[in-house]
Amino acid sequence: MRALLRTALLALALGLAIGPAITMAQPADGEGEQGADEQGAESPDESRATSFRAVTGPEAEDVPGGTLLIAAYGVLWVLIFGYVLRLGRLEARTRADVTRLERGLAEGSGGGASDEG
Amino acid sequence: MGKRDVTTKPPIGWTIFAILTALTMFADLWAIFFFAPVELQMGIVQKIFYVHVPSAYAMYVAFIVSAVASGIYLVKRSPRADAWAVAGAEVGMIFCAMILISGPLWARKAWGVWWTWDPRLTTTLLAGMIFAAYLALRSSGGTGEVEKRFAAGLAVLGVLDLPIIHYSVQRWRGQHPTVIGKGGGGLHPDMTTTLLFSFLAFTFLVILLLWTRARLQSQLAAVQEVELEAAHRGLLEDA
Repeated sequence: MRALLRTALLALALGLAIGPAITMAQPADGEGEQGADEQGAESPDESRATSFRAVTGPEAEDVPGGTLLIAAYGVLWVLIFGYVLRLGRLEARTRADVTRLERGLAEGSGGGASDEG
Repeated sequence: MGKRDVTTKPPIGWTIFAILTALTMFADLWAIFFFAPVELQMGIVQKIFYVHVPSAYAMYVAFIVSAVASGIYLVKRSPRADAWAVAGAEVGMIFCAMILISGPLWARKAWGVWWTWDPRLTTTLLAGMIFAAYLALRSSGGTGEVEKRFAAGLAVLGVLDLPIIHYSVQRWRGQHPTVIGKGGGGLHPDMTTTLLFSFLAFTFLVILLLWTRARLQSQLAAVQEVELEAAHRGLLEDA
């Protein structure tokens, strides 16, 4: 159960962390170069925005849909495979418990109770 | 001690169904990326829709299974019902996580924000939190009868959130799209075909996961019961 919660939290953190990072890493067309030119060697105070301008037509923010799509499907398959892995581990643990129990019962009652365990 | 199901080998029917589910899931991926057309306004990111919506449906199925099984457990104290209740809550949480992760990734492109307190988003998060509480209770409370009953009550109450999620779009008119169903603008025929195939694939997936988890939970409970009884009779030295 703890492993499941860990996996879910990790997946959630991964999704929330990857998305903004990917989006920020790929600025809109021309935006990155323009930003770099504008900033140059300015201090943070100097680079602070002093005006807001309206976006027109193709200059609108371009969010990379492909990366978001890959992130969504990636998280989906990580969750599915992670859960299948957890089920596999749970089954292995049950099998080990049954074997241990059968052996213990056989030793405890000369094999008479092993049919039930 | 009565006869208990502690067979660890999966039945042949399960194996066949697991293979069928895997094939359907891969065929669904092919349909999503190579058969369904790209949406005109949103572009390729709209393809998240083909897993987001069926995930929501699978979450409903799993949480309803958990609530119904919990109700049966409260009445009959059946270990099998308890196993299905745990399976439903756990599998439902997997699909809930898929919704809550894939939704914001789509929303970033469509709405320009990762998250907004839209009625459907908020009520889905609430359902996830209720069933996360169920799982936390079951994992921290051990196998005690009181914890089982309290968790069962939580699952029955938690399922009441599902109709609120479903009808929140019509009732409160939030930002969440309503493409399919009442008031929706419809889909391209190839998109509809792909979506229906996704529903089929996710139906197989949720049934397979529920079946597997419930079987394992039954085996775990049976092993624990045998172990306890054997220990009481002094048959196990280290139990």
